[in-house]
Amino acid sequence: MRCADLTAGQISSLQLVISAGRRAAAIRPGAEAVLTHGADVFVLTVDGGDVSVDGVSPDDVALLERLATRRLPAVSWVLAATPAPAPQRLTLQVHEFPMALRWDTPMELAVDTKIVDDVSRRRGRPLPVEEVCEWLKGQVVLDGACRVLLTAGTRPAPGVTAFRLHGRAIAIDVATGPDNRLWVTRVVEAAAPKPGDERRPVVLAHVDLRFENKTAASVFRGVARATLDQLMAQGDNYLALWREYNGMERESVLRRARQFGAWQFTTRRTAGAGWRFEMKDADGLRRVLPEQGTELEVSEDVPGWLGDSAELAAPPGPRKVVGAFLELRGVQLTLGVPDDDDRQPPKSGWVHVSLQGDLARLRARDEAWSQVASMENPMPQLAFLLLGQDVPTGRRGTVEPMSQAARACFKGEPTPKQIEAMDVALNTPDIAIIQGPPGTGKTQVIAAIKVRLAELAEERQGIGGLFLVSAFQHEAVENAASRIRVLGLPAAKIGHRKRQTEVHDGFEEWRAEHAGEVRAQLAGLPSGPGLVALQAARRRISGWLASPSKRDSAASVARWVYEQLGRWLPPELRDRALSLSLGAKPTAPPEDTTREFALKAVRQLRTEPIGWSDDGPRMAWLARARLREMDQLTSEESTLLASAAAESGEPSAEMFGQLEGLQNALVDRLLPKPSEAGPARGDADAEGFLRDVNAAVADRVAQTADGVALALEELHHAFEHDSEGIREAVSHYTTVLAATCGQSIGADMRDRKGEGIRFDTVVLDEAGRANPLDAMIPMSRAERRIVMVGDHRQLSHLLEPDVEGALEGTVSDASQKALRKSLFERLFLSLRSGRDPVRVVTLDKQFRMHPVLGGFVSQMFYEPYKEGFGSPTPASEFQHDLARWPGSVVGWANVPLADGAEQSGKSKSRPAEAERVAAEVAAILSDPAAIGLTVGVVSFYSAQVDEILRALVGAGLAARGDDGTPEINTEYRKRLRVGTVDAFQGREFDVVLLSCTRSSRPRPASAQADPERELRTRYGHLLIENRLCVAMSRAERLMIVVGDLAMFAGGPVPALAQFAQLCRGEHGLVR
Amino acid sequence: MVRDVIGADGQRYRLTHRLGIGGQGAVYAVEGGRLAAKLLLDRSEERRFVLRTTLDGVRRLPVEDLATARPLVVLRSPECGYIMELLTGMAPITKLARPDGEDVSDWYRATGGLRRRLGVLAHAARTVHQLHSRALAWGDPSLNNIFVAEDPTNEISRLIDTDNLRWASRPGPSVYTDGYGAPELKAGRSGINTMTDAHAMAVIAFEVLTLCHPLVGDAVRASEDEVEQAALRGEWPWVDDPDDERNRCSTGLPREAILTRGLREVFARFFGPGLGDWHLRPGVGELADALAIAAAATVRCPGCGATYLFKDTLCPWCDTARPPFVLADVGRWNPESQALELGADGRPDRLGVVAVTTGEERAVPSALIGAGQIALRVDGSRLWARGPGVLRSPDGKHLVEMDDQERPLDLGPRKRPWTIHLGTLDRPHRVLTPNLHVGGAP
Repeated sequence: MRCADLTAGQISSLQLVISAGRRAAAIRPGAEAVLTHGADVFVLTVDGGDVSVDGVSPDDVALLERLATRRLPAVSWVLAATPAPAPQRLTLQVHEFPMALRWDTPMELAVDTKIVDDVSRRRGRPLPVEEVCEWLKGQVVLDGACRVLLTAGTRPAPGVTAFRLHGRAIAIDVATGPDNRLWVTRVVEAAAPKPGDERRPVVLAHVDLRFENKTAASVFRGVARATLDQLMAQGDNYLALWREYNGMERESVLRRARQFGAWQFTTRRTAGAGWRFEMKDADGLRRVLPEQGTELEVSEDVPGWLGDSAELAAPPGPRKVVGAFLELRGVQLTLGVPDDDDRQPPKSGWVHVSLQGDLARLRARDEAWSQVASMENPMPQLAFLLLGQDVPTGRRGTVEPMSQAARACFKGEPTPKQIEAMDVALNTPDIAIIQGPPGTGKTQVIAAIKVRLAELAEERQGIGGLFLVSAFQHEAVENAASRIRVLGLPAAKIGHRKRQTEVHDGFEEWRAEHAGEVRAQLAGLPSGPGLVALQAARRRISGWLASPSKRDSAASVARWVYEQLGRWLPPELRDRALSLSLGAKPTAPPEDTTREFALKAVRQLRTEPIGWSDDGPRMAWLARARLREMDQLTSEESTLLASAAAESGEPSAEMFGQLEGLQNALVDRLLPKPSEAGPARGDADAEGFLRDVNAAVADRVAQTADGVALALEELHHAFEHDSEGIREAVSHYTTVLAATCGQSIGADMRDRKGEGIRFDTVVLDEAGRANPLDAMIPMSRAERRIVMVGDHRQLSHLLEPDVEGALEGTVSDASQKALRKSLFERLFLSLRSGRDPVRVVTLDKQFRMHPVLGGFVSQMFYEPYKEGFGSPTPASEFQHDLARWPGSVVGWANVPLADGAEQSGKSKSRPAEAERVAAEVAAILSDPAAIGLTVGVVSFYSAQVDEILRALVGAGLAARGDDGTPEINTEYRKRLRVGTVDAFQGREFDVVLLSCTRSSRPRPASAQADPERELRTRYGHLLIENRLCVAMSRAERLMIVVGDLAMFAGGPVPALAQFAQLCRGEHGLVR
Repeated sequence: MVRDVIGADGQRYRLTHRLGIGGQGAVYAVEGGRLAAKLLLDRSEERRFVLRTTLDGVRRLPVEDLATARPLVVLRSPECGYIMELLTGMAPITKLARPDGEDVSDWYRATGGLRRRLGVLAHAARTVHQLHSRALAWGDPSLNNIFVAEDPTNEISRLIDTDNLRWASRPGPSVYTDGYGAPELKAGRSGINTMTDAHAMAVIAFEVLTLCHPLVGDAVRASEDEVEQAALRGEWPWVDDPDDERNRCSTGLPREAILTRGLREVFARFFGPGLGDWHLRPGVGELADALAIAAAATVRCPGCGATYLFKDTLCPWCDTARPPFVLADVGRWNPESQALELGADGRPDRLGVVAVTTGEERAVPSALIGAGQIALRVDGSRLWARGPGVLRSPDGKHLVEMDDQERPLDLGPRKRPWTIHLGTLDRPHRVLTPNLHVGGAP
């Protein structure tokens, strides 16, 4: 096979110019070339000679750099060389492969008679086995050095090693036989992979490959076999596991939809913001009512997947109407649709759960996974990183991590670790993992990284490619996107929540800033004498052109133009204005009245027997007379009317028909046409004239100094009033985009940037909280750099509970643990030790919490994993003067079991504890020393949160809202917050109260069948470190735990036991 | 998405963007800024054909001089719809009937207040009356189908959705909007005709003025859908039924402040006896007259700018005292007695009034004086009048011809008023007798 026949690998092509060095006498197209890089020079070795090359366009230069950085095994060849015979420019095609294998021992493949026959058939004549072997070799071995392309396949049977060789027109499947020799099992046509096929990476192997007659081939074992086995083992790895997980998610989606079922409706009509359906079995529907806002779909027939079909994809055709469930009243079901949706549901049919959103999501994940698995994504080594394998090391960048602007992102001086984090993020050859324990300034580091990257992009004049900021939730994305500026443009958030009206991504601030700037500039300009008047004139003309009114006839506008603007116009236009204005008529032209008369007469024509018997002939005569005056009748029409007028008896049915037809035709002829339903005739001329005037005035103004002011004024107008237009424009030019994981390749993004979008850099914030498959979506599109920022010791992505349950049955514990670990944690752990270059940084100084609290959190949750951090800010910064907790940083408010036990249910609660929490909160908020302090109340259980809110009502801090649920009173809303842990990650408060909620009596040891289970039953969520870590790292000055001291002191939850200990010490208090 | 449609006349109309959507179709703006296109969405090909023929018929109806957005050009296959006038700067009257925001009185004022609503409703009812007088029925009056100007001082209206316009004598499919369909229409006892139009207009007028649906009171609203449907079929008493309190409406503006006696009487006939028996229902012309007369009887508050009925001595919106105003009584001339016609109580029979406050010009509604445009303006204690009429001195000795030039009448204290005659003294005609009121009871 020749290089030019290659179709595999990641293909890029670039234009190169020969910059220096020996000119090759002749470089043939199709010749193989080797690209090397050293000391800032690119050298191409081709046809026995070396030449120095450089990229032609900036894109080519960037590509060369990327190739050099990645340093992946590649095969390159010259696509074209111009001009012949001594070329100066080349087009080079580069095929990159994720891996190169090197085996010293020759590899011999046995060929049996079946294969010989097959090949003979292909070649059209019987061939001897030696020729067959030669031919096969020629097909798959790359000329030049001994190289082949192979893919390791799935294991056909235990103990068998199998792979596929890729050739120009064919592919050869090879497997070990029972005799441990390699046999050619199949020869097939080479075909492009179809979507949905399981894709494996194509790997370059340097090996002396030979095809032999079956008896001559030797046994296959050793290093080569082990490597191939390992490659095949990818079938069992993490990625395949996730595929299974995804499959199960599909199952659970289907299950949910099947549970709801399909409900028939008989009629439908519009209702306010959507559609109202009359349901046949409303009572049945009432029993399975979904949540408010659930998306339901309307189809004519019951969808296939409700039966046995597993096919989720919708049949081709117009997309069906999807609406949000609003209410079910009587037999009327109301669904809401967005304003801009003008699809119509069928008149009768079925309502069922909509899978459109789910399907799209699952599809996006599948695509991303598949791309990464086959290493055909823009960063092929990503798969290696994910599998924990050795990556062919690329080069590190040499960007200076700090700059003045970056420094400004930090409050105070950045710590050495923070600078290191920036260095790693900016200079990593592929991926950077930054762990930010609570309060370590992770957000500032991200901002500084962005600033530096923006500066780099500006240096390269914005040609650095696109920059994506992503996170798992819209709010996080919006936070991350604000405060970014590249080339003076803000980040553009792509994709939106359903029914989201406002987006807080920093765009509005930028717009306000710029509107202000333009306004200031405008104010600074001297306004010319005619500017304002000219503006008004142009507006009036534009207004008239847009909607001319009957009153303001063209002629009178022309007169106004002549009088007001005459001196600004060139002589011809002035003359035209004058002549048009002289044609002004004050009232409607007389023709209209004649026409009215004629219309009246036509309408009075009798075309039916009853009317005819009144005055039929007379009306026909009248009509004929009027219309002949106006010259509106053809001779046949005139004859018809004449004979009708002369009729003595009743006309025939045929004549009535003719008369009716004539009446209709005449009405049509006489009715004013829509174009006449405006100003008088001669209008087209007037319109043209006015457009010319507009243009002439604009020219004139532009030539004066007023022209600048005019342009600025229009810009200012756009900034002030056309927010949407400016946002649109910015999103097309900005290089920084922000989107959630799912929507980073969603419809909105594709609309703007096209399919196959690639990002130069992807920053994934709160990376520990994103579902791995979702996170893969933006990562699979990253080209140069991925920066993941997060903390795996805090909250992680939520697994769908029922999928987790389903998996428990099928997959081993180790794999389950693997599933629970986020992508972030996995990468963090695998890339941390002994890797060069360094890719992982843990920030090590926290500034949020009192040193005692900081020390506690570090000791309990981070030091055991060697991720500990210090608390340099002195304790004096975190003082509080609350009378109830003097001199304390930690506190325990004891609510013993005797005061009240926990209440079970789906979620746990403990009213006695809630009362205590409310009392403590009231005590704190009423303390004068608490002015300006914020208080957070956390529980792991949503039922307890409700209970606490209820207790707060009792304490006078909250009140029942319109729907009966308690809400914190307005005066405290800014200072007090109550919620579960999930709502609190990323937030901080001066004082935090944690309600443990669990309190129960242990069963006697004899009754405990499984002590593990017993612990889980009694302590539940409290056993999960992540949640505790978040809950206990929110407080800046004072952390109070409210709960049953006996249950936790010295108990099985280490963090709480230690905390109780701390409370008995010098910094704590137990009440 | 920009696309072109072709009219039956072969002209190409370019649609630029969608303006709105309803149950039967959607309305798009046509490039050029003067026209709009209504596209009816109906899948079946025969239905479309029938619709096109019907629209063609509607297009030819004699309504081109009325304030309606009628079909101008029917669209060619495959589209089904028509080109109509684009109502720039106008919006459905719905926004005058649905309060927006917490402060209802602020909103009521900001959207024009009482006088504007009366004016706009009178204009719309007048147009419907003109249709009826040509033996045409509109079909589906509803809040969405009457357009009013965005400008809250403007009183013009336009009727849209004239697709169902038809000769009142011809039967056809019953189309109605729930809440506005007459009881007999809803119950299927009748098709569309001028009386069903009248009912709908009365409901619209009541809603816009009082912000309360005349048939849906507290009790009905609190019950299920079925009860509401029954109320709309006329099975419940209306909200202001004098004898039956079951359906009272506690929300909605107080009737005494908003409605004149004439309006209250007209509504009582619409929703009392007229609800079940359309023979007893007033025609829409009566409604139009009552609305116009009521509009003329409003004064403007100098404090908050709101308008209210002149009989209130304090502004019901802001409690400022009623400003001085001129009240012109409209009476009839008796050529035999050479004096105003007297009513049963011996005083001149008053057909209506026109209230004019300082600083504004008011036109006397044609409901009171027929054709002839008389406009009145007050400035201090002087009334300026213009229009075709004759001024007669209090002692009858002097007659002054009026024309388009404004003429002053001094209404100061101790001055007996001159009267404005809209005809010659030997024939019956209308007479305007102005009096100045300086606060206090009329």
